Amino acid sequence: MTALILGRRAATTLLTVLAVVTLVFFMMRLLPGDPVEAMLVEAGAPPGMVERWRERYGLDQPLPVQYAIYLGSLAQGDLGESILYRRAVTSLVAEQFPSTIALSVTAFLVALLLGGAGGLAAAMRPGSPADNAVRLLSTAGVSLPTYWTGILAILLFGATLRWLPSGGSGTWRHLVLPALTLGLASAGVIARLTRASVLEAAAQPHVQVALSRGLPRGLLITRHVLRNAAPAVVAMLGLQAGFLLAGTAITETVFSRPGLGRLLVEAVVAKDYPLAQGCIVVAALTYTIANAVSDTVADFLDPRVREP
Amino acid sequence: MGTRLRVGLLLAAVCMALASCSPANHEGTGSKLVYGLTLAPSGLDPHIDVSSELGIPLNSVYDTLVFRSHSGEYVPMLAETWSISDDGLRYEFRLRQGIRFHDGTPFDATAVKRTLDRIADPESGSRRAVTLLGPYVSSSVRDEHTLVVELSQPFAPLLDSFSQVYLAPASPAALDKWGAEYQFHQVGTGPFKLSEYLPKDHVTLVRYDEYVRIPGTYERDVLPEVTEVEFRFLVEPAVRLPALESGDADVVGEIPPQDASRIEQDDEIELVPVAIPGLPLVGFLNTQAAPTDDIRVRQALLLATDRAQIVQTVFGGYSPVATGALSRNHADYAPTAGHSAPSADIAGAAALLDEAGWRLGNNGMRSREGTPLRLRAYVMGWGMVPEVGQLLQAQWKGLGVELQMEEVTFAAALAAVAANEHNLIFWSEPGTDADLLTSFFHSGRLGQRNWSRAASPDLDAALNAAREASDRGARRELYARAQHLIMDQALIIPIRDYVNLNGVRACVGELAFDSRGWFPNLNDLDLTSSCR
Repeated sequence: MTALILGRRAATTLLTVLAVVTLVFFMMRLLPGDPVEAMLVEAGAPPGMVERWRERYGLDQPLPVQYAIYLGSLAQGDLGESILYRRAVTSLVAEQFPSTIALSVTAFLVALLLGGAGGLAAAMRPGSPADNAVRLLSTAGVSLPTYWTGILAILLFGATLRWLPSGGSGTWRHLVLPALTLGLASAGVIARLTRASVLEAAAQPHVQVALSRGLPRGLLITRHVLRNAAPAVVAMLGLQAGFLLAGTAITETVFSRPGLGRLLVEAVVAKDYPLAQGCIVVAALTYTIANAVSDTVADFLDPRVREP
Repeated sequence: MGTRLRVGLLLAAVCMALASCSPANHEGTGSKLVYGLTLAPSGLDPHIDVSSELGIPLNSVYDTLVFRSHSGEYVPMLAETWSISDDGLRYEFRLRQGIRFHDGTPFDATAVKRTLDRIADPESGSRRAVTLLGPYVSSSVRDEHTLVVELSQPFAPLLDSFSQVYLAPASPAALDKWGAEYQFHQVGTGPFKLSEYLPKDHVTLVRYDEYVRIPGTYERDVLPEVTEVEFRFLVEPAVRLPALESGDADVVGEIPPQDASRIEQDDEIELVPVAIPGLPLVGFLNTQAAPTDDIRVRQALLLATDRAQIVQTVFGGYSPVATGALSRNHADYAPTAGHSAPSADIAGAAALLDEAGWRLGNNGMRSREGTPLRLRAYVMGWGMVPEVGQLLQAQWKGLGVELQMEEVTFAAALAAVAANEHNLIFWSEPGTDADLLTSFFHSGRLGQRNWSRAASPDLDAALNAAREASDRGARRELYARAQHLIMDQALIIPIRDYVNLNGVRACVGELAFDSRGWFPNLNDLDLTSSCR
């Protein structure tokens, strides 16, 4: 059963990535404009260079041929050469991805810690000032765009208080503001779901029975409430991983950090097909894997799935 | 509850006090400078890549064959003397002796040839540098310190090209060793060495202590005070000023105009506006698509544009109003060629449109035989161009003209141009040689950057002759003629001369820029105090 679940998840992951790759391949080409022409015209290059460059990147081939060549290379782990950077997409992605992972993992931990603790605290005393505060803050976290909170954080903690660097990368101090900015948005979602799931689990008849039997409160919460509330929260964490990965594009720009998000935005604007496709393949893989992991963990936490 | 609140407030106050007492994070020893760049270039190889941004660090890494002084003269740098054959097809450079690249490789004619061959090789993928070389055919080494460059046609801008970092000689040993990875390991002969380049993160230069200063170029004849310069990429305009205010950066270019006034009230930061010579920010009017195919419509739009209002509102008054195809500070600017009245002449514009048959309707908009007077503009999101477009929309509406504006990527704008769907496209381009006009107004550049779709034999003739003329005075006259023709045909709506607003922290002292306005002179910098 376990092997079956894992196998099914792996197959779904691969199919999802293939679907994403195909969609991106054709959508990028549906956008108006030619990447090579844009680059050369911008440089003021004389006529005659465009054709040579199109040939170099295989853009003179019919679309199905380009697609087949791309899939063939992809199967061998070759993401092609970026038109904009004239370098292998794999090198570019490898260069930028660690920074994005550092940011999204830290932001994820921030979200999990603040969201989980906040949601739990709110659910423990529904209607209390603490509950109201968590609900207010989580709504704010969900509603405020990271672009705005990021610049606000820079102005307050960077320019005014000078506690932390306003941008850049390299040390843990550079990571604090971007991770908090990105994590807070996600923390709001996690807090709201944790609160709702805990309240729902606490209202179950078996919890009420255990309570009336005099089970200590701590044991009641860990054994009966949290275990039942956990699967929904864990499954949603996978989705949040995707949200955080997508959110890095804006956060990286605001905080002048290197990263995959910025690389992708640049690739899309310049219509750099190989680079945009490469970034999306990596992002899609990361997202689907994170999702598959969280779904699997959620399944194992849920006895109804674990023991059929 | 009251006690808790008081404790909370006390804690907050303690935190604030600690923060204000804690030492600023930019003190210390050494003379390191942090310089904020506004764009992370896709590549940093001067021979291959395009961006003006790459020259900001690299201009200090390389010396060039020729140096362009602030008065616009081309004076010797790595080339001691040069001569040009009478037919303009052969340039002979006598190179300076005793110069070495940062890696110890001797600088000689073979090294320069190696750089030029690299640029000219189609496989290298050069874009800007190869364009600057023009009709280059080959170069040959006459002797160790003499290089001969052969052209297929006379090309007067070549000296200007050789004064740019894009054609700067690189160490042949480094080029051979690193190949396609050369951008990470660049070796020149300039006052600073490239120490590290991490894409999208930083570029670091360190002082080159063996630098041989060439008289007539840099002023400082002892080693630069700055020992290390770290360039960081501050792509988002809103964070540039906070980076200066927090001391995270010491110099930042392209401060948004709305932030510039805040700098002027700050004792710690100085605003250094630098005018950039070249094509100002202009709107190209398409002469081959209705309704801008009618010269009266184009002239009416020129008259109806209140450029002074645009410059004041969008650019905070920091830029001069542009008058023609070259900025006022360009060496070949022709003062009489421009459209000098910065404010609008709505009555004059209305008369022209009436004459062209575009009548004002009851709805306040003009039409002719049932067709509304409607223009399509494609704007890219940079350089406050969308804001300029919005003001134009409002200004022209007063004349009864509808401006439809679409914000697109550059590639999408070019697709619209190819389909001849545009009436208006904005652009600005830095450049010290007026030959840049050729790429925008010559009929041979239709389908490229000739967005006005100008096809005027007179204009082509003037641009061709100027490109080939060896006499400086004659070139100047030809470019003046070209500028007159451009404005007489109302091919463009000039908006503003480009001014780069730099924010410089007080510790940096007076920061000067090269004659192109983009590249800082790090060699001659006298720091007021240590910046970090």
